[in-house]
Amino acid sequence: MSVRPVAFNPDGSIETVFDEMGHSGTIPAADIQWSLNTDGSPNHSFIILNCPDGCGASSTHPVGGGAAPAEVQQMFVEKTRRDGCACGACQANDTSALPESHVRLNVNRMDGPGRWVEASA
Amino acid sequence: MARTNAVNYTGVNQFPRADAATDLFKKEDVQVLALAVDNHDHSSGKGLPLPAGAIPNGTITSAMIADGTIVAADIQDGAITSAKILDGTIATADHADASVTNAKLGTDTARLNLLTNGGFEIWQRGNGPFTAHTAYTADRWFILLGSGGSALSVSRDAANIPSGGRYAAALTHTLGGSAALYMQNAEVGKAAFSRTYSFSIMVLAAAANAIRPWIANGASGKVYGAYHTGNNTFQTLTASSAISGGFPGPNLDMGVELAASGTFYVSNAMLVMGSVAADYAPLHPADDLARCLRYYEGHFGTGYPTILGVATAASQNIGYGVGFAAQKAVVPTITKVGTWVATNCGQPSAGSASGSGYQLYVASSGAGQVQSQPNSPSNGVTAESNP
Repeated sequence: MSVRPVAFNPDGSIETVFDEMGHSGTIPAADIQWSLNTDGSPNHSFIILNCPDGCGASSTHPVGGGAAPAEVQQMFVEKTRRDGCACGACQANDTSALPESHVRLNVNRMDGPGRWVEASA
Repeated sequence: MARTNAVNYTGVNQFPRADAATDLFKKEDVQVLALAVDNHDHSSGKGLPLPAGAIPNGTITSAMIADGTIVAADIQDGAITSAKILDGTIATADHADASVTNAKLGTDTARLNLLTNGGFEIWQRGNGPFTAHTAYTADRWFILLGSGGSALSVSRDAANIPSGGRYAAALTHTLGGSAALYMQNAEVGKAAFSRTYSFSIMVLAAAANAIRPWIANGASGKVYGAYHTGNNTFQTLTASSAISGGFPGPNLDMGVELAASGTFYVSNAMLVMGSVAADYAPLHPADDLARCLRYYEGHFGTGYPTILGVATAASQNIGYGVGFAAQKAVVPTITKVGTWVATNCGQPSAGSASGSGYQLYVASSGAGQVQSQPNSPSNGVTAESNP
């Protein structure tokens, strides 16, 4: 598997597990980061999670969901609501439907229609 | 009245008949009549044809019928039963082309397995135990816990296996508020709509009514097969489903439901189209692995992958593109496993990925050569794609 979200907390932090290693723990909202392009700019299509166990593992999750579609897509929606999107299409603390729509658009762009499964955000 | 001739006798057998007392009586009349009687055999000119009612039921035997004279029209439609056909005599030419349907196949007719890793032979993530909800275990097989205290631990097992295999999955289950599932989400594409699928899996259980197979039935839920009888041997359990309208996507779920606490072993699963389940037919190992690589791929080993370059200053990103051995089903999650050797740079991470590869990069700490790579066989990169 991967360092993957399994539960979402009200403060924006997420509970994660890393199945192969049996690691688990909480990742604060501030540590849920966009990946960086080689020019240093953030990439709204990927989020990096470092294993909270400190083993050195880090997972780069695609907006399509990769290893865990429902949870990863929800993670993108919640980060976009909270922090805005790296591309500037959404502003921070946007409680409208725009963040979810934007993430859904990116999911469709990446993996095609039918990949969107997130429904709980 | 007048003398008349018999109408059912002709030629020398046609005797005259006097039907009035005044008719002339000749002794030749009796002689001809005697000849007619002597020649009487119901053939033409020798008496009336024999009516069906004149033959008692059940009196005509096979010996009375000339060989080779019964024609197809003499046999009532649908009257010949299996018991009338000698075993082993129906030849291929006796079957109309395209007339053998799926329902007529035996389970031992080898068919294409639509599952990935149906034999539970490939465990790229390790041997377990795996316990988390939605955790993948053997390639493509994952856990769905039930409610309220449900627990399931899955490990690779080499001791309790069906004949001919190497591994099974050992399932140690604690029943909670509802049953846990151990399942696969198989890519079957557009073919899923309005088709019938059959799932089979070999299961070992020591208790009856504790584990049973199931297969999704489109929007309406699951179709269950019979429970294992609990005789502590491997049994092949099956479930079939006609996919109904409203099926939500191109994937099909199937697996086993764990309805009681205990330890169970599963292996040799098959998913085939049609209403008849199939006995397990292994893939060639190369094909088995190739299917698994579509969903999970690991790049492990001391020194691979290696990021190597030269920076002219600090904070310069140096990247390295790595291709997959197999195209992924969807863009995968890339996980850098372990802490790598990093010279003049921080730890690498994957900046982006696609279905065909990923990019690793590091940020330089200063001017000079930059290098990072795994320094143990257990460190490396995994790519995981779960459609």
